[in-house]
Amino acid sequence: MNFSAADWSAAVPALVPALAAVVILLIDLLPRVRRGYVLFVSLLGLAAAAFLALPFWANPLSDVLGGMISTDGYAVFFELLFLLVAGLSLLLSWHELTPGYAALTLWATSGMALLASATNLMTIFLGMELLSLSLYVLVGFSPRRDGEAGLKYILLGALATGFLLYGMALLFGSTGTTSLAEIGFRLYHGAFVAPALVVLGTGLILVGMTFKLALVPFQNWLPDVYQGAPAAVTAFMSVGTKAAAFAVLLRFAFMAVPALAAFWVPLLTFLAVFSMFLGNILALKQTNAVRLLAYSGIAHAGYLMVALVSFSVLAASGSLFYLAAYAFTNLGAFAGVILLAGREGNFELTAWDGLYRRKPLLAAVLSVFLLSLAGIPPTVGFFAKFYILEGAVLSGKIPLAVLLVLASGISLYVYLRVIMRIFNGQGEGKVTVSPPVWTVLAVSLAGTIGFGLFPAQLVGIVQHSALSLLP
Amino acid sequence: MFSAYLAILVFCLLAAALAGTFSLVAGLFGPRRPSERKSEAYECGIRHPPPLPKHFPAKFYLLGMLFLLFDLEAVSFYPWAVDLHRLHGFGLLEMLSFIVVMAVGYVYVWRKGGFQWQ
Repeated sequence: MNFSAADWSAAVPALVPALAAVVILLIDLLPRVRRGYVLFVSLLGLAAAAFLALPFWANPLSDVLGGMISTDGYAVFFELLFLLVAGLSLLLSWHELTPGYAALTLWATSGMALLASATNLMTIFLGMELLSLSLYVLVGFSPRRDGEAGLKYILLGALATGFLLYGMALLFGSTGTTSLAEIGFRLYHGAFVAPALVVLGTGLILVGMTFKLALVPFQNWLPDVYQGAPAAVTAFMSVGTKAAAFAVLLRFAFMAVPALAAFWVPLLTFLAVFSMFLGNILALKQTNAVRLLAYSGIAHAGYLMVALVSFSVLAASGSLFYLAAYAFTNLGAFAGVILLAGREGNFELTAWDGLYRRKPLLAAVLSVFLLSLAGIPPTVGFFAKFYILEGAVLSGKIPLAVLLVLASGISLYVYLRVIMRIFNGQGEGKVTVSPPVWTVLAVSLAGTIGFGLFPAQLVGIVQHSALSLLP
Repeated sequence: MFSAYLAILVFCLLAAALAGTFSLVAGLFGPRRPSERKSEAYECGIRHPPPLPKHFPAKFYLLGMLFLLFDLEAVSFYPWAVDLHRLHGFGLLEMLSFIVVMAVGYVYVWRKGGFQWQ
């Protein structure tokens, strides 16, 4: 098999971050390593990848490298999102940035970019492993260095990978192909053997993926791992990994198993409802900022599932909008968590008490992020939820839409409780904001308010992107 | 299609019956002279060695892990070498890039002291 240069160019956006990681390993061998060099090379690699991905927005390349990847509008949207998230989370980790840390983040980004363009079960697995293996080590960079969170994550992650792989094997065994488009075609035309294996295989793949997305009932690992990992890694995971797993799930649903919608739509609806409610209700009781954001992340994954089970291009573009909105908002919120935790790493919510008296501007900015998480206009979080609701209602999922509104009513209380602490409480402790964190806060705020006031720009982007899901 | 497997079923049954008969007959008519040594966990008539006086050094695990890593990578040369004629320049270029990445990893481990025994 011979591939043309054009074939390879489609894989380049995913490969460039990995190349930058290799360069960073070599930098690490220099006698004196400056953090600035490491950050510069990382950001340069991410920017180069973004620059190389952009041309595919207008001129997509589908089914290249033997049908392994499609670098289309959908892939480019997610690749740009991942590169942005990786860049911002590297800035957030400025104080603990080691070459190994930066290299692993870049490898994880490379895996996520591969997942965004994967159109074959093999590439999906490859991307998932590249992402997961890098994250297992990153999680182990915990301040306490005891490796508890890393061990928990690797054990449960390996289990999820097992489910995923077994499901893929069954689906391949039944349909005789690993290409998503070809699986979809054969399922639609009945060209497969053993229907029970198809259902079992699809179910196992969904279990594996919802595990990575941490939907109820596969959510138990999430708060512990988030709490044990360095906060910047948690920020990266909560936005990047979630988006990557969702990108794969959405493409899998649209390309490979639309014929089985009658099977997986009720299943995922169930998970969506439980995640929305349980995530928000458990977030109510949290006294630790990271755990609160972890449970809120479970609820947000539930909202995304509502968009998936609505199963239309409109709902899919709604979920892409939601992921972009969530990326800006949640990175901003995590920047706040990291700032207020200080050098000692006190992640209790008491650190937020009376922030308004100490740092009025920072308090206002963080409140915007919290309001956006709750979905209050004019922030981007409002339009994101509105867009998902619109998709659900137009697909006739009105009860589900009502449940989503009820769940986000509970979530309002979760975030308002933190805002009350910021404005009412009495607290002390000096908060110093370093330039890298200011950058993250500024970019997140620009995204949260900018796309909140002018959502049309982002709507145009996500609609173009979601359209390439259709054959 | 099941008739094709009938022979295997008969074979399994025969094997089980034969093995069962032998153990039954030996158990019924064989002499029994139990002793302490014979009833130890690994019954082979030799007294098992006492527990080791000290622990093994755990240094070896890093070396073992690195060996596995590079060994597995080297294994992928074999299928490549067999198919080199059909892969042409593409295969050469692909393996070259693979070797470069592997060499970076090797140099990294070396310079970071992964091969130091102390």
